[in-house]
Amino acid sequence: MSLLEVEALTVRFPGVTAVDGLSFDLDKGRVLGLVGESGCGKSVTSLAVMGLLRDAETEGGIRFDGQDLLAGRPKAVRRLRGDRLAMIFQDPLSSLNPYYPVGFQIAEAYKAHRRAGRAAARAVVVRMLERVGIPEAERRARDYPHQFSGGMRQRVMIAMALCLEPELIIADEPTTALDVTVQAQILALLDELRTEYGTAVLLITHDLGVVAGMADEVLVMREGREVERGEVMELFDRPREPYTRRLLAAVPRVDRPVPDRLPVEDS
Amino acid sequence: MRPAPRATPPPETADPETVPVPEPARAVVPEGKDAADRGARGRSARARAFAGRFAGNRPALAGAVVIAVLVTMALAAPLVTALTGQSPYAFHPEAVDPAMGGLPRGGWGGISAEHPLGVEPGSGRDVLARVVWGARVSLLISLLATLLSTAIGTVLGLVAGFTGGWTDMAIGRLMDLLMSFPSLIFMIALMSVAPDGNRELMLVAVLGLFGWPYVGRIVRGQAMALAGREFVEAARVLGASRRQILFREILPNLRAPVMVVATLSIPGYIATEAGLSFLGVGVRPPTPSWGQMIASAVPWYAADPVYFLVPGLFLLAAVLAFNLVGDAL
Amino acid sequence: MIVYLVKRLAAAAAILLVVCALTFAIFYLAPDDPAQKACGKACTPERIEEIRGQLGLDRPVPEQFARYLEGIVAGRSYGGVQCPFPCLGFSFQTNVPVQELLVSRLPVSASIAVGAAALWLLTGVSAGVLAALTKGSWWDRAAMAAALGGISVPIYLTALVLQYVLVVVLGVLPYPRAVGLLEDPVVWLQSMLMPWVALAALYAGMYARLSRTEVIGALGQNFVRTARAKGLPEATVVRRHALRPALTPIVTVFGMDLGALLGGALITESVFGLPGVGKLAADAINSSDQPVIIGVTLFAAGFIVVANVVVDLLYAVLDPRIRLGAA
Repeated sequence: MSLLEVEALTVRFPGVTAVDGLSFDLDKGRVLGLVGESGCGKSVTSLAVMGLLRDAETEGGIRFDGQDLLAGRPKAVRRLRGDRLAMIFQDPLSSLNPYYPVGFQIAEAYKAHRRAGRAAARAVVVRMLERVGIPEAERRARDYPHQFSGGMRQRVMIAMALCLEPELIIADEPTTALDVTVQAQILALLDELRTEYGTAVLLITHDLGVVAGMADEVLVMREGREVERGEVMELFDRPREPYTRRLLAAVPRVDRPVPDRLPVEDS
Repeated sequence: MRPAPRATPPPETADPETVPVPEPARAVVPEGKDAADRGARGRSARARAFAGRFAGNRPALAGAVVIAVLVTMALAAPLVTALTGQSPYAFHPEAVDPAMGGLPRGGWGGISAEHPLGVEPGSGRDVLARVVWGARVSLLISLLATLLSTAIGTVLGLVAGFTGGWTDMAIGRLMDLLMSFPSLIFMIALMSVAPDGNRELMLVAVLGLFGWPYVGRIVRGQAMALAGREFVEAARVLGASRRQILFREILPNLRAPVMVVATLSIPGYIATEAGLSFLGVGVRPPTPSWGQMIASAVPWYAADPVYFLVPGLFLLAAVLAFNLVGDAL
Repeated sequence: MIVYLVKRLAAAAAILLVVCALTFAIFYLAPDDPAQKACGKACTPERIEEIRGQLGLDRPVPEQFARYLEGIVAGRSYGGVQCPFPCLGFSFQTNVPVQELLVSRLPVSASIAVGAAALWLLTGVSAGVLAALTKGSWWDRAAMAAALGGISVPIYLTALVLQYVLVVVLGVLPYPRAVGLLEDPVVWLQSMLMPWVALAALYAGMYARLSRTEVIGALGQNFVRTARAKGLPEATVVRRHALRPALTPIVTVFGMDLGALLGGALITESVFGLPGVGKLAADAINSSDQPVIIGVTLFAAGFIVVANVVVDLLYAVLDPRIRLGAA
């Protein structure tokens, strides 16, 4: 049994089907990259797994450690959320509440699932902030999100997601909103931590470079459906589907001349 | 990377941030049957979109109907009074009872075949005639005030947003000042010392003077946002003059937001005009206005409630109707 | 924070100065001759000249304005009659110093404003929040219809209908009277009830609509999604992460509205015949009592400007982004 099993997942919004019969498994400690252009349904898939979709009609099955997330009791699913599966969002500024210090927001996640006094929760917060590389963690815990830089904010988000040592982390475009130099740091941190904790990662991105560096396996999505799936090296070296090839060719490379024409879909 | 505080609250129906809706969701209305009248597409498509927003919204439709009725009534005021044969200014001493302190004869505010909405206590003037002529005054003042504030607001907002720098600073400060001003009390003070002359025009001027910053603020923000957009950039690169950019590129894109603010400001002006006239600093008798009619009904309200209810309900209907339509936009 | 505070105070002072200048302009540049007004109908030209001298109307305009400002901040004398700080002149009708009139009328206006504010804040905000949380339900639609009705009914209509039904027809309440809370609490409450309800009906509608929009906006924010992703109970998500940001702007609107009402509810006080600052202004308008009109204008403007500053400070306390300077 895999840690996460998604089976024939279909998500419909009024008037549009965002995900159409998608299936995949994710084993403990592995990293699966979910790749595709914007609007292909990858973010909707991640929100469906977290149970964060609203006003959507969902079919199929999502099982976490054998437990059905779609059919499960809301309270039981909520207990899992944040504790055993956690999420890192794309835009750390808008994903953190501007009205509370970051330490409070991390402690809140911890205390939602563990009985902990103020001091104990505080210790966890400081330890996590130190672990994700925020200097002067004790003092910075009292600062508000707007007082951090973009990269530091995403570190806070990572600390928040990892404070309960979840078995699965869903990272939805974790570096898209960041500067290029900061992107590399955040990815390195994420990779380091998931190795250390043995966490499985569902990595959602449109950036093939990110996937190549971190994922074990890749699933290419298009218009809500799977295009191709495989081990990362194999897929990069020998893409079977034309769409995957075009996707790969669209990545600018410094070691090759710029093609005369951009790859276009032949219809 | 870029701090993006929510400038305007997101529309209440869609939830774009948690539900990333793919492209096909924005599918436009199928063109099918109307393919024939492609020629006049620009205008009629916009009109259809406008009508479409109303079709499913029954309260807004009701509001539009009420507005149409009231406007027709105001326009046809001379016709109405010609038909009933009652002038808004003629006294009818026979319709009131001097023994009762001038209360209308026959109870119910003196409603009769001759005076369908009763008569004014004391003078015996016909209420229907005064209400329809009052509609003229109330609606005309609020409409002109809206035009004035929209015109000033659009021009100054556009200049501020597009020029930037010093001009923007000055206009921005002026708008801040006017908006943090105790405007109602100032209108009262101004109107109370205003010379007796054309009170209606004075009201329009005062309402417009304190109303334009609300339009100006929105236009300024929109103009600033638009000035940085690619299509404006493109026009500039193509060598368009400032005037061309302002009138061809920016102004057309401001039509929708300006329309909305203008519509929403009408009920405010109707209510403010009525309030000022109610307090005795607006339209002066014998010219009828709804607010002034209600004011003159206050001393009689206990004995003759019909006399304050009639203009009161007309006023309520007008304000409510404009609010309903404004909400739908 | 200090910079912010200083900026706000400077802006407030500037607005007050402009308000003074404008009231001065209205007062002195109006077509009516103040000396003629002060003197009354039957008045000899010599007497008018004498009054002109007392009021300082024979001096150049800038000097008059300087004296006028001086009177407000330090007091002045009018032709030998001492007018103590803050001097706003004397009523043409009663010759009572305007500031004395204002102070004596404030308790009534304050009673009306504070009671009504408490009522509309409680009903309006809770109705709006509930509507937002049950968006699309029958409650949402009913509350929003009622709110739209509330903001559309002119206050004098509400007031007259209330008084007609409750006092004239049903007789469950007496006519409102100006009685101090400590003098006779029962009559005070009976007198205040109708003004409170009439004002609250108007404002509650506005607050219901505003709080509904704010709460719906806040619920759509990314940080609310984050809070749900943490596995917090939905009640905590709503209370801590949606209501706090949604209600902060409402606090500021509330401060402004309360400030404006403290300067007198003209229409409400007039209809119910309660002698507050607003009734004072309404009566002054009817009798063309310029110094009183100007006095009330300045007084109300002062409340609004002070409310503006208080609200800005409150916002800084409530919103850490302003308190600590946005990045």
